[in-house]
Amino acid sequence: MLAPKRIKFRKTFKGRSKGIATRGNTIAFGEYGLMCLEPGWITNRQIEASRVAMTREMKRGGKVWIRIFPDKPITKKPAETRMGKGKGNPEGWVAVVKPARIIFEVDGVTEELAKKAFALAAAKLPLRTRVVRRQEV
Amino acid sequence: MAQQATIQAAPRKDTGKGVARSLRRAGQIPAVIYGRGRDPEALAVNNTELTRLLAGISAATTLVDVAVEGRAPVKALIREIQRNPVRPADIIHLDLYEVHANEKITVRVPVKLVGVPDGVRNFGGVLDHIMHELEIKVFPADIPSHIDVDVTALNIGQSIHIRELTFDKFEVMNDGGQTIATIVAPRAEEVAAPVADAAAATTEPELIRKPKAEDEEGEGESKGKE
Repeated sequence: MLAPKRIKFRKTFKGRSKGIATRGNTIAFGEYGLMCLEPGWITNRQIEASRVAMTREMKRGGKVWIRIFPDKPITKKPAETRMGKGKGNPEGWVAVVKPARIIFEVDGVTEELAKKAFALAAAKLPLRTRVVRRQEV
Repeated sequence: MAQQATIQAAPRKDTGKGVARSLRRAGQIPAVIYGRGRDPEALAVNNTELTRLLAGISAATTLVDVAVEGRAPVKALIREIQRNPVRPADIIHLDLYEVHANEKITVRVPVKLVGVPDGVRNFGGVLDHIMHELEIKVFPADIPSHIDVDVTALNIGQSIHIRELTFDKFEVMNDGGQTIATIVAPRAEEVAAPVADAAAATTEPELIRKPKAEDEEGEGESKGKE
Protein backbone atom coordinates (compact mmCIF):
# COMPACT_ATOMS: atom_id res chain seq x y z
CA MET A 1 0.00 0.00 0.00
CA LEU A 2 1.08 3.56 -0.65
CA ALA A 3 2.59 5.42 2.30
CA PRO A 4 5.39 7.96 2.70
CA LYS A 5 8.86 6.61 3.42
CA ARG A 6 9.99 9.58 5.48
CA ILE A 7 7.91 12.30 7.08
CA LYS A 8 8.58 15.54 8.87
CA PHE A 9 5.75 15.38 11.39
CA ARG A 10 3.93 12.34 12.79
CA LYS A 11 0.54 14.02 13.14
CA THR A 12 -1.16 16.78 11.16
CA PHE A 13 -4.21 18.99 11.61
CA LYS A 14 -7.44 17.86 9.99
CA GLY A 15 -7.57 20.88 7.69
CA ARG A 16 -10.45 22.30 5.68
CA SER A 17 -10.93 21.89 1.95
CA LYS A 18 -12.47 24.49 -0.34
CA GLY A 19 -12.33 25.30 -4.02
CA ILE A 20 -11.35 23.03 -6.86
CA ALA A 21 -8.08 21.37 -7.80
CA THR A 22 -5.85 23.73 -9.75
CA ARG A 23 -3.10 21.14 -10.22
CA GLY A 24 -3.39 17.55 -11.31
CA ASN A 25 -6.67 18.35 -13.07
CA THR A 26 -5.67 17.34 -16.60
CA ILE A 27 -4.90 13.96 -18.11
CA ALA A 28 -1.12 13.77 -18.36
CA PHE A 29 -0.16 10.16 -19.11
CA GLY A 30 -2.98 7.99 -20.38
CA GLU A 31 -5.97 8.35 -22.67
CA TYR A 32 -8.73 8.10 -20.04
CA GLY A 33 -8.93 9.36 -16.48
CA LEU A 34 -11.13 9.15 -13.40
CA MET A 35 -11.93 12.64 -12.16
CA CYS A 36 -13.04 13.42 -8.63
CA LEU A 37 -16.19 15.58 -8.31
CA GLU A 38 -16.24 16.17 -4.55
CA PRO A 39 -13.68 17.24 -1.97
CA GLY A 40 -12.60 14.61 0.51
CA TRP A 41 -10.04 12.09 1.71
CA ILE A 42 -9.08 8.86 -0.05
CA THR A 43 -7.25 6.32 2.09
CA ASN A 44 -4.34 4.24 0.88
CA ARG A 45 -6.50 1.11 1.30
CA GLN A 46 -9.15 2.56 -1.00
CA ILE A 47 -6.49 3.48 -3.57
CA GLU A 48 -5.07 -0.04 -3.45
CA ALA A 49 -8.51 -1.66 -3.69
CA SER A 50 -9.34 0.48 -6.73
CA ARG A 51 -6.02 -0.29 -8.38
CA VAL A 52 -6.45 -4.03 -7.89
CA ALA A 53 -10.03 -3.90 -9.23
CA MET A 54 -8.90 -1.98 -12.32
CA THR A 55 -5.91 -4.17 -13.15
CA ARG A 56 -7.99 -7.34 -12.72
CA GLU A 57 -10.73 -5.99 -14.98
CA MET A 58 -8.13 -5.07 -17.60
CA LYS A 59 -6.69 -8.59 -17.27
CA ARG A 60 -3.20 -7.19 -16.82
CA GLY A 61 -3.40 -5.44 -20.20
CA GLY A 62 -3.10 -1.68 -20.46
CA LYS A 63 -1.36 0.59 -18.02
CA VAL A 64 -2.61 2.33 -14.89
CA TRP A 65 -1.30 5.53 -13.35
CA ILE A 66 -2.18 6.58 -9.80
CA ARG A 67 -2.18 10.38 -9.75
CA ILE A 68 -2.71 10.90 -6.03
CA PHE A 69 -0.52 9.99 -3.08
CA PRO A 70 -1.70 9.44 0.51
CA ASP A 71 0.73 11.68 2.39
CA LYS A 72 -1.51 12.86 5.23
CA PRO A 73 -1.39 10.84 8.45
CA ILE A 74 -4.73 10.14 10.14
CA THR A 75 -4.91 9.57 13.85
CA LYS A 76 -7.46 7.66 15.86
CA LYS A 77 -8.11 7.32 19.55
CA PRO A 78 -8.24 3.78 20.92
CA ALA A 79 -11.68 2.27 21.58
CA GLU A 80 -13.37 3.02 24.90
CA THR A 81 -11.07 5.88 25.72
CA ARG A 82 -12.26 9.00 27.49
CA MET A 83 -11.91 12.29 25.64
CA GLY A 84 -8.80 14.34 26.19
CA LYS A 85 -5.30 13.10 27.04
CA GLY A 86 -3.95 14.33 23.72
CA LYS A 87 -4.29 13.45 20.07
CA GLY A 88 -4.66 9.79 19.09
CA ASN A 89 -2.09 7.59 17.40
CA PRO A 90 -1.42 7.59 13.64
CA GLU A 91 -3.57 4.86 12.14
CA GLY A 92 -3.42 5.37 8.39
CA TRP A 93 -2.74 7.60 5.43
CA VAL A 94 -5.04 9.60 3.19
CA ALA A 95 -4.76 11.67 0.04
CA VAL A 96 -6.61 14.97 0.16
CA VAL A 97 -8.53 15.54 -3.07
CA LYS A 98 -10.58 18.40 -4.42
CA PRO A 99 -13.12 18.43 -7.27
CA ALA A 100 -11.52 18.16 -10.74
CA ARG A 101 -8.56 16.14 -9.46
CA ILE A 102 -7.60 13.22 -11.71
CA ILE A 103 -7.28 10.17 -9.46
CA PHE A 104 -6.35 7.42 -11.95
CA GLU A 105 -5.40 7.28 -15.60
CA VAL A 106 -5.35 4.32 -17.95
CA ASP A 107 -4.01 3.71 -21.44
CA GLY A 108 -3.68 0.81 -23.85
CA VAL A 109 -7.28 -0.38 -23.49
CA THR A 110 -10.53 0.34 -25.33
CA GLU A 111 -12.88 3.04 -24.10
CA GLU A 112 -15.44 0.40 -23.06
CA LEU A 113 -12.94 -1.52 -20.96
CA ALA A 114 -11.57 1.69 -19.43
CA LYS A 115 -15.09 2.73 -18.39
CA LYS A 116 -15.79 -0.70 -16.90
CA ALA A 117 -12.52 -0.64 -14.97
CA PHE A 118 -13.18 2.90 -13.71
CA ALA A 119 -16.70 1.93 -12.61
CA LEU A 120 -15.21 -0.82 -10.44
CA ALA A 121 -12.59 1.57 -9.09
CA ALA A 122 -15.17 4.29 -8.40
CA ALA A 123 -17.22 1.81 -6.36
CA LYS A 124 -14.28 1.54 -3.94
CA LEU A 125 -13.98 5.30 -3.45
CA PRO A 126 -15.89 7.48 -0.98
CA LEU A 127 -16.53 10.25 -3.54
CA ARG A 128 -18.48 10.91 -6.71
CA THR A 129 -16.32 10.58 -9.82
CA ARG A 130 -16.56 10.89 -13.59
CA VAL A 131 -14.63 9.28 -16.46
CA VAL A 132 -12.90 11.86 -18.63
CA ARG A 133 -10.97 11.62 -21.87
CA ARG A 134 -7.80 13.39 -22.98
CA GLN A 135 -8.50 16.83 -24.52
CA GLU A 136 -6.63 17.98 -27.61
CA VAL A 137 -6.19 21.70 -26.90
CA MET B 1 -4.44 18.27 -44.67
CA ALA B 2 -6.05 20.64 -42.23
CA GLN B 3 -9.83 21.00 -42.03
CA GLN B 4 -11.65 24.30 -42.62
CA ALA B 5 -14.12 26.06 -40.36
CA THR B 6 -15.47 29.54 -39.70
CA ILE B 7 -15.90 31.41 -36.43
CA GLN B 8 -18.14 34.48 -36.33
CA ALA B 9 -16.83 36.91 -33.73
CA ALA B 10 -17.74 40.34 -32.44
CA PRO B 11 -15.14 42.83 -31.21
CA ARG B 12 -15.42 43.97 -27.60
CA LYS B 13 -13.86 46.97 -25.92
CA ASP B 14 -14.28 46.02 -22.27
CA THR B 15 -12.08 43.42 -20.66
CA GLY B 16 -11.72 41.87 -17.22
CA LYS B 17 -13.45 39.15 -15.24
CA GLY B 18 -16.67 41.10 -14.66
CA VAL B 19 -17.14 41.67 -18.37
CA ALA B 20 -16.14 38.08 -19.15
CA ARG B 21 -18.68 36.74 -16.66
CA SER B 22 -21.52 38.87 -18.01
CA LEU B 23 -20.59 37.74 -21.53
CA ARG B 24 -20.81 34.09 -20.46
CA ARG B 25 -24.18 34.73 -18.83
CA ALA B 26 -25.36 36.17 -22.15
CA GLY B 27 -24.31 33.01 -24.04
CA GLN B 28 -21.04 34.41 -25.38
CA ILE B 29 -17.48 33.22 -24.85
CA PRO B 30 -14.70 35.79 -24.37
CA ALA B 31 -11.91 35.27 -26.88
CA VAL B 32 -8.71 36.93 -28.02
CA ILE B 33 -6.95 36.96 -31.37
CA TYR B 34 -3.26 37.72 -31.68
CA GLY B 35 -0.42 37.08 -34.08
CA ARG B 36 2.76 38.46 -35.57
CA GLY B 37 2.43 42.02 -36.89
CA ARG B 38 -0.90 42.77 -35.26
CA ASP B 39 -2.18 43.98 -31.93
CA PRO B 40 -4.10 41.53 -29.79
CA GLU B 41 -7.83 42.11 -30.01
CA ALA B 42 -10.52 41.05 -27.56
CA LEU B 43 -13.48 39.27 -29.14
CA ALA B 44 -16.71 37.58 -28.18
CA VAL B 45 -17.89 34.34 -29.78
CA ASN B 46 -21.29 32.68 -29.59
CA ASN B 47 -21.13 29.73 -27.18
CA THR B 48 -23.57 27.44 -29.00
CA GLU B 49 -21.94 27.97 -32.38
CA LEU B 50 -18.46 27.41 -30.95
CA THR B 51 -19.44 24.22 -29.12
CA ARG B 52 -21.04 22.86 -32.29
CA LEU B 53 -17.95 23.79 -34.32
CA LEU B 54 -15.52 22.16 -31.87
CA ALA B 55 -17.52 18.93 -31.89
CA GLY B 56 -16.86 18.50 -35.59
CA ILE B 57 -13.20 19.46 -35.98
CA SER B 58 -9.80 18.59 -34.61
CA ALA B 59 -9.36 21.86 -32.74
CA ALA B 60 -5.57 21.86 -32.43
CA THR B 61 -4.83 21.48 -36.12
CA THR B 62 -7.73 23.14 -37.93
CA LEU B 63 -7.30 26.49 -39.63
CA VAL B 64 -10.37 28.56 -38.88
CA ASP B 65 -11.59 31.66 -40.70
CA VAL B 66 -12.25 34.26 -38.04
CA ALA B 67 -14.81 36.72 -39.34
CA VAL B 68 -14.93 39.79 -37.14
CA GLU B 69 -17.98 41.97 -37.85
CA GLY B 70 -17.46 44.27 -40.82
CA ARG B 71 -14.01 42.98 -41.76
CA ALA B 72 -12.56 40.41 -44.13
CA PRO B 73 -12.01 37.01 -42.42
CA VAL B 74 -8.50 36.08 -41.29
CA LYS B 75 -6.97 32.62 -40.96
CA ALA B 76 -6.26 31.56 -37.40
CA LEU B 77 -5.42 28.53 -35.30
CA ILE B 78 -7.09 27.68 -32.01
CA ARG B 79 -4.19 27.93 -29.58
CA GLU B 80 -5.98 27.32 -26.32
CA ILE B 81 -9.45 26.45 -25.10
CA GLN B 82 -9.83 27.17 -21.41
CA ARG B 83 -12.46 24.91 -19.91
CA ASN B 84 -14.09 24.53 -16.53
CA PRO B 85 -12.00 21.78 -14.89
CA VAL B 86 -15.03 20.08 -13.31
CA ARG B 87 -17.32 20.47 -16.35
CA PRO B 88 -15.02 20.33 -19.40
CA ALA B 89 -17.97 20.99 -21.71
CA ASP B 90 -18.14 24.58 -20.37
CA ILE B 91 -15.72 26.78 -22.29
CA ILE B 92 -14.31 29.71 -20.36
CA HIS B 93 -12.07 31.40 -22.93
CA LEU B 94 -10.71 30.92 -26.43
CA ASP B 95 -7.29 31.90 -27.80
CA LEU B 96 -6.91 32.40 -31.56
CA TYR B 97 -3.57 32.80 -33.29
CA GLU B 98 -3.60 34.57 -36.64
CA VAL B 99 -1.36 32.88 -39.20
CA HIS B 100 0.12 34.00 -42.50
CA ALA B 101 0.16 31.59 -45.42
CA ASN B 102 3.85 32.17 -46.22
CA GLU B 103 5.19 31.87 -42.68
CA LYS B 104 5.96 28.65 -40.90
CA ILE B 105 4.35 28.18 -37.50
CA THR B 106 4.92 25.79 -34.63
CA VAL B 107 1.94 23.54 -33.86
CA ARG B 108 1.38 20.58 -31.56
CA VAL B 109 -0.14 17.75 -33.55
CA PRO B 110 -1.62 14.58 -32.04
CA VAL B 111 0.17 11.27 -32.67
CA LYS B 112 -1.91 8.25 -33.63
CA LEU B 113 -0.43 4.78 -33.40
CA VAL B 114 -1.37 2.57 -36.33
CA GLY B 115 -1.58 -1.22 -36.24
CA VAL B 116 -1.33 -3.85 -33.54
CA PRO B 117 2.32 -4.39 -32.54
CA ASP B 118 3.80 -7.85 -32.97
CA GLY B 119 4.76 -7.96 -29.29
CA VAL B 120 1.15 -7.29 -28.27
CA ARG B 121 -0.52 -9.67 -30.73
CA ASN B 122 1.79 -12.65 -30.29
CA PHE B 123 3.47 -12.24 -26.92
CA GLY B 124 0.89 -10.44 -24.77
CA GLY B 125 2.94 -7.27 -24.32
CA VAL B 126 1.42 -3.90 -23.49
CA LEU B 127 1.68 -0.95 -25.85
CA ASP B 128 2.81 2.11 -23.92
CA HIS B 129 1.99 5.29 -25.82
CA ILE B 130 4.40 7.82 -24.32
CA MET B 131 4.23 10.89 -26.59
CA HIS B 132 0.69 11.88 -27.45
CA GLU B 133 1.70 15.06 -29.32
CA LEU B 134 4.57 16.21 -31.52
CA GLU B 135 5.64 19.81 -31.98
CA ILE B 136 6.16 20.55 -35.66
CA LYS B 137 7.18 23.56 -37.75
CA VAL B 138 5.01 23.79 -40.82
CA PHE B 139 3.31 26.10 -43.31
CA PRO B 140 -0.33 26.68 -42.25
CA ALA B 141 -1.67 25.00 -45.37
CA ASP B 142 0.26 21.80 -44.65
CA ILE B 143 -0.79 21.22 -41.03
CA PRO B 144 -1.71 17.54 -40.70
CA SER B 145 -4.76 16.66 -38.60
CA HIS B 146 -2.64 13.97 -36.90
CA ILE B 147 0.60 12.06 -37.40
CA ASP B 148 0.33 8.34 -38.04
CA VAL B 149 3.07 6.19 -36.53
CA ASP B 150 3.19 2.55 -37.59
CA VAL B 151 3.94 0.30 -34.62
CA THR B 152 3.15 -3.05 -36.26
CA ALA B 153 6.77 -4.27 -36.28
CA LEU B 154 7.48 -3.57 -32.61
CA ASN B 155 8.28 -6.47 -30.33
CA ILE B 156 8.51 -6.64 -26.54
CA GLY B 157 11.22 -4.28 -25.32
CA GLN B 158 11.38 -2.36 -28.58
CA SER B 159 10.52 1.32 -28.94
CA ILE B 160 9.97 3.81 -31.69
CA HIS B 161 11.74 7.18 -31.44
CA ILE B 162 11.23 10.50 -33.17
CA ARG B 163 14.48 10.21 -35.16
CA GLU B 164 13.17 7.06 -36.85
CA LEU B 165 10.35 9.01 -38.47
CA THR B 166 10.73 11.03 -41.69
CA PHE B 167 8.39 13.71 -42.93
CA ASP B 168 8.45 15.76 -46.12
CA LYS B 169 6.21 18.69 -45.39
CA PHE B 170 7.27 19.63 -41.89
CA GLU B 171 10.10 19.35 -39.42
CA VAL B 172 9.70 17.97 -35.92
CA MET B 173 10.93 20.28 -33.17
CA ASN B 174 11.10 17.68 -30.38
CA ASP B 175 14.37 15.99 -29.51
CA GLY B 176 15.06 13.03 -31.81
CA GLY B 177 15.88 10.70 -28.94
CA GLN B 178 12.44 10.95 -27.34
CA THR B 179 10.36 7.79 -27.33
CA ILE B 180 6.93 7.84 -28.96
CA ALA B 181 5.81 4.36 -27.99
CA THR B 182 7.27 1.23 -26.48
CA ILE B 183 6.13 -2.34 -25.88
CA VAL B 184 6.49 -3.47 -22.31
CA ALA B 185 6.33 -7.03 -21.04
CA PRO B 186 3.02 -8.08 -19.49
CA ARG B 187 2.78 -7.54 -15.76
CA ALA B 188 3.53 -10.59 -13.68
CA GLU B 189 0.64 -12.08 -11.72
CA GLU B 190 0.37 -10.18 -8.47
CA VAL B 191 1.27 -12.18 -5.42
CA ALA B 192 -0.65 -11.10 -2.38
CA ALA B 193 1.69 -10.24 0.47
CA PRO B 194 -0.66 -9.71 3.39
CA VAL B 195 2.07 -10.10 5.98
CA ALA B 196 4.25 -7.42 4.43
CA ASP B 197 1.24 -5.13 3.97
CA ALA B 198 0.13 -5.56 7.53
CA ALA B 199 3.63 -4.85 8.72
CA ALA B 200 3.80 -1.75 6.54
CA ALA B 201 0.49 -0.53 7.87
CA THR B 202 1.56 -0.80 11.48
CA THR B 203 5.09 0.57 11.21
CA GLU B 204 5.46 4.29 11.12
CA PRO B 205 7.73 5.96 8.56
CA GLU B 206 10.99 7.46 9.62
CA LEU B 207 11.01 11.13 10.64
CA ILE B 208 13.11 13.43 8.44
CA ARG B 209 14.35 15.49 11.36
CA LYS B 210 15.66 13.85 14.47
CA PRO B 211 12.77 13.58 16.94
CA LYS B 212 13.41 15.75 19.95
CA ALA B 213 11.92 13.13 22.19
CA GLU B 214 13.74 14.21 25.30
CA ASP B 215 13.09 17.90 24.66
CA GLU B 216 9.41 17.38 23.94
CA GLU B 217 8.98 15.23 26.96
CA GLY B 218 10.78 17.82 29.00
CA GLU B 219 8.53 20.58 27.65
CA GLY B 220 5.42 18.51 28.26
CA GLU B 221 6.45 17.88 31.81
CA SER B 222 7.25 21.50 32.46
CA LYS B 223 3.90 22.57 30.93
CA GLY B 224 2.09 20.01 33.00
CA LYS B 225 3.72 21.33 36.09
CA GLU B 226 2.75 24.90 35.20
